[in-house]
Amino acid sequence: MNNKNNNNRFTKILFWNIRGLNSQEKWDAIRDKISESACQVLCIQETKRESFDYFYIKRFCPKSLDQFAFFPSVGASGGLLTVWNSSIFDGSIVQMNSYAITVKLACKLDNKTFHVTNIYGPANLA
Amino acid sequence: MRNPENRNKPGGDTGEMNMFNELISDLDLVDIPFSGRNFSWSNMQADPLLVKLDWVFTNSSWTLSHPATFVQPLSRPISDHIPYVLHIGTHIPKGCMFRFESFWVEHPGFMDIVKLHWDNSPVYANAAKNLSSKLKQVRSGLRKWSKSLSNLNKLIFNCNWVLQLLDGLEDQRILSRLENSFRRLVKHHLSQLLDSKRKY
Repeated sequence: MNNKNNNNRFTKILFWNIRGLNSQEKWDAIRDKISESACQVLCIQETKRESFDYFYIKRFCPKSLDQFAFFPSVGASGGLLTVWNSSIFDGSIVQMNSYAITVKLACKLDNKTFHVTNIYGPANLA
Repeated sequence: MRNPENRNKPGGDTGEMNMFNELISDLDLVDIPFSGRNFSWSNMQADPLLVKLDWVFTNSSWTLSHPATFVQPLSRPISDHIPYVLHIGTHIPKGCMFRFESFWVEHPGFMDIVKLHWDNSPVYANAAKNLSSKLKQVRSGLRKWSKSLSNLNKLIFNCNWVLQLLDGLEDQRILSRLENSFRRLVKHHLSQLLDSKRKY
């Protein structure tokens, strides 16, 4: 939209607080938004899942989004997931705690490096 | 929340807002606004409470090195938060590669287009040149044809556009009953379109 007259690429990072991704409905919605945005990085908040593996990621990610880092939910609350396209980015986890995952992404096309921090702050901290 | 305008109804904890703002300035963070939208979360009621609960921050050195950075909000098919895309301008030129989609072959009009362009290519004495010219013709023909093909993508784009418009309107005022049911209708229609796209 805004980049119609620009001949350079945009790095696109999709963020979404999904409120739990344990259903086909959520998987479909994420897949559609990935396709709509043509993102190379995906940051999900409130996964409400304790673990992820490659096969689970494939339920909602296309082939190109193939590397990931996650922080498990505590029971049914919170949970963070960052997924990136490894043919474009070399990614490594810099830091991780219950509220944030920081991933360092080195772009293979222009050798530029940046950090993406995926943060979720629960609404009612006691 | 950073200030009372991050909410469409009165309320919010001033102490927490101050803490948030102090932290942002202490860490030298730069708030990237969501283009055209004030709020990112809704309690999904008819007279909704809307709040900006989602934030994107960079820092001042980033602003200088990456001036072409903005956040594009997307329509919300599910969840009470909107999805949004951070765009970061790079200096990598866009590729203009020709991509052949395998589903084209199954499309009824496909062979006709190929034949039309294959047969209409200018004839050269040199066989290699002849072949390459035919391939070039077919490629450009298919490229044009494929654009008219994807009506579905256009419809999906339009639905998302309308949904965003209504969500944006809701930022400013309560939606009427008619507008609300129209939004439900469009959402339903969009989910059907997306279903058929997935099957494809």
